[in-house]
Amino acid sequence: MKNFGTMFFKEIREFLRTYKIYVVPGLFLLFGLTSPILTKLMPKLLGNLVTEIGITLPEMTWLDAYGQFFKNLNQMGILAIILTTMGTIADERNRGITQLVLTKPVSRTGYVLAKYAANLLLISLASLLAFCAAWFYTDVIFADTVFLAGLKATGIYLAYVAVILALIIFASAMTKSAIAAGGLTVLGLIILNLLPLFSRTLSKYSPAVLTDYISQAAAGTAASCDIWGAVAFAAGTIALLLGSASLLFSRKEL
Amino acid sequence: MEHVIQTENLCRQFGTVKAVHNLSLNVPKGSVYGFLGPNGAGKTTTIKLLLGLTKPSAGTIRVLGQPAPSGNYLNRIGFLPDVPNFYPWMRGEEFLDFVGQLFAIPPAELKKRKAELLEITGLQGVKTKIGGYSRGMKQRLGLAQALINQPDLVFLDEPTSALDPIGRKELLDTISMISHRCTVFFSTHILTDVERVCDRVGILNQGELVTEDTISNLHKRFAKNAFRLAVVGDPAPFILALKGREWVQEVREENGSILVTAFDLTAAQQEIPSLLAEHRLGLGKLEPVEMNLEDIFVRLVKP
Repeated sequence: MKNFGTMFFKEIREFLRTYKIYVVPGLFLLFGLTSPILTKLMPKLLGNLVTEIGITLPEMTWLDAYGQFFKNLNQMGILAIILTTMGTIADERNRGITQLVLTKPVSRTGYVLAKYAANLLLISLASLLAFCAAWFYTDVIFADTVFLAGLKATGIYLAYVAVILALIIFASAMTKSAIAAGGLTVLGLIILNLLPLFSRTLSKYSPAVLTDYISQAAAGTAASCDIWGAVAFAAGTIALLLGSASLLFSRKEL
Repeated sequence: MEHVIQTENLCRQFGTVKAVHNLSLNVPKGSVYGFLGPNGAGKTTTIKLLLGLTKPSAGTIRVLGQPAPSGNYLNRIGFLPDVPNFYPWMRGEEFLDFVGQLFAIPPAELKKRKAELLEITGLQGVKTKIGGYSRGMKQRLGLAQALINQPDLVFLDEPTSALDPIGRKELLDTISMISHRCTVFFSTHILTDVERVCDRVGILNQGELVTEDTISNLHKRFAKNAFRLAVVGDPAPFILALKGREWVQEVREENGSILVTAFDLTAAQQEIPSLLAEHRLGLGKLEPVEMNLEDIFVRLVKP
């Protein structure tokens, strides 16, 4: 873990200087601002179509706005995280920067964990900022919005993102190109999403199930013990992924 | 003699390719060690092994008295890779700050060293981001970052390959300057650079160490039994007389002087003065013909 702090602050400075600090939060904020508005406008946008086929759309509520917001974060948000993070180690290794840095007193574990921690901090702040915007607009547009339910859902989303980020860091540490790291991450995501099919325990606690708990938490219908079980499982998965990344990266030829 | 680098039967194999094979190096403390070899000889792989960037297939390594790659010697070394790359968004000065922090150099001391190194490398006042640097500028920044921790041992992997003649001269001057305070391990295939700054060389060919010695010893070891004569008077009868001697291998005129290659140099030294006197010739010049490092290198690595 030697020089974790210096590497962590270098990452933060890199976010600032390469504008990543504006890109990810900016995109997330856009989801936060537009999701409630789109939810409100949806019945009007689909009005003509539903009249023709004879369907009556239910009245939209704050819960639908939250649902739309977390759906955006889960799809476009995750895609943005993969695209902006997949080259974090692979690119530096490919360009030979790691050779220069890791011949200084920097542990490879510290190097890997600093990347993870800095990216997690950025995404956490971006998610919280986006949720605050989403809650504010939802409360303005719809009545009786429950702040705590949304905050709890954001927390679960962050647990899910922390797993995805560990997967990206693992993939980036294993490969020498950002594209290969992106491909490996997608493969890992597919495996994660297939895990719940293999056993009852995995269907309840594996990281992919966290996405179901997000909407349940927003609606206040999720069982706390199940959520905590899934979060603990996620923490274990993160430890496994980061531990493997550090171990395998330490054995890599640079 | 204390050695800062010692390897014993060091091997690194990639599949069936033996990049480094049974390499036993001994680099004395305080030397400027030229690590020579043609392209693909295994020089960079050896440096990576010494720095712990890759693990050996067999053999042992000791750097600054500690085993590699597990030893804690990284805070006492500096390294300039053959193609140095940096964070393109940083400025040169910022990168030195960053490296200084990795070595936990106190801020006041870091400021002093940074100013000194930027001046030595001619990068003071450069405000451009590293992404906009030329290869030569990157090489100079690479040297500055390699020296920021005042290392005991510096690894320079082909440091002059990207530099123009002026940049090369400046870098060699810097190497000469730092050689008073640390050991320099300098890999290259530019032999004139080695002759200028190194006092000891190791020649690597196809992963194997062909020879390791001081430059002066190499000259002695590979000295030809040859000498060059310049005489005052008509040399023709003298040359004819030389050709009849048993100890003479070859005699030829070359640029107004006589080049003599002998089977027996002692016999030549004994007989030449009397032969000159016999032919009533004056002696203008008599000097041994030495092989330069390039000749030695070619002779050792040529298949």
